[in-house]
Amino acid sequence: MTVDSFRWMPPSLSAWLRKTWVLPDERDSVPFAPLRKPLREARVAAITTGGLYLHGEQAPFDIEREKGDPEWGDPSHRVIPSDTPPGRIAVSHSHYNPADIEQDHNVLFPLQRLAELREESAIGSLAPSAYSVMGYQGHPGPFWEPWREGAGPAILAQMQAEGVEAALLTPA
Amino acid sequence: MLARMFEAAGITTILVTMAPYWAEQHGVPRALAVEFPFAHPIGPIDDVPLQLRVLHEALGVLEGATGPNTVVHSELVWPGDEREWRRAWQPSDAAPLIGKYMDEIRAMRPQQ
Repeated sequence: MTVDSFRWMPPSLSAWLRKTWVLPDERDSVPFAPLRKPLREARVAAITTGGLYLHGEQAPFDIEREKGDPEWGDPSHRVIPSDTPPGRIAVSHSHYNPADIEQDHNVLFPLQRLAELREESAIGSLAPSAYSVMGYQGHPGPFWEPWREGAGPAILAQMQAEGVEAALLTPA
Repeated sequence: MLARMFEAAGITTILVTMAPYWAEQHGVPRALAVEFPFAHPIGPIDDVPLQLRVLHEALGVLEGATGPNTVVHSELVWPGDEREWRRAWQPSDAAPLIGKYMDEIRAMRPQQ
């Protein structure tokens, strides 16, 4: 089976994205770090681009500015405890329907599922911290420089401080 | 971009993506592609068995890939109604970007 990336999109949007969102071909320079121990002994962290934040405790991603500046996306990040239960995470992202995630973030950000995998010893441990950025970073993009200088190094530093060896990334 | 940064620092990554088109165009350390609606890479709400199957597949790629640009296309099938889900993942109001370029997007509609 070949996954159709455009199955769920209107044909016009699909055609427009193919034309306007062209990423540079950097396949020859992809870094690769093999897992250095069995997964059942490794510490795992979750990272999503869904624009998630802790409801009532953290600021939403700035989608208000995006309304007036549609070609800009908030490059900040949020640190979310990995034991956060469903119902406490909210979404600020203009490009998808957040309803399911706000009811149960595991459809995108599988914190409880990873904890269950730890219980069955499929992974060694779940890092205390998980992370969210907001994946829309401008148009036509990619405008990744702010992540390269801000969110990326900050998340990496915290993962290293928590002994993370493997990361699960889930774009929205 | 984040996966590359983490991988360069020695952290093994797995991306679970609904849009392998861009991962394969740009290059990625490892990815599991799922033909699921946007915002639902791990599966439908309340379907814990399917969510765990996706994660087991993802962890299998994480552990088993032998080189970069490994993109495994999952055979798992979205259980919801296709017509309903073509709409259900979309925001109730068009994203500002989509609103700005709506005329251009509509002009891209394939001719019948």
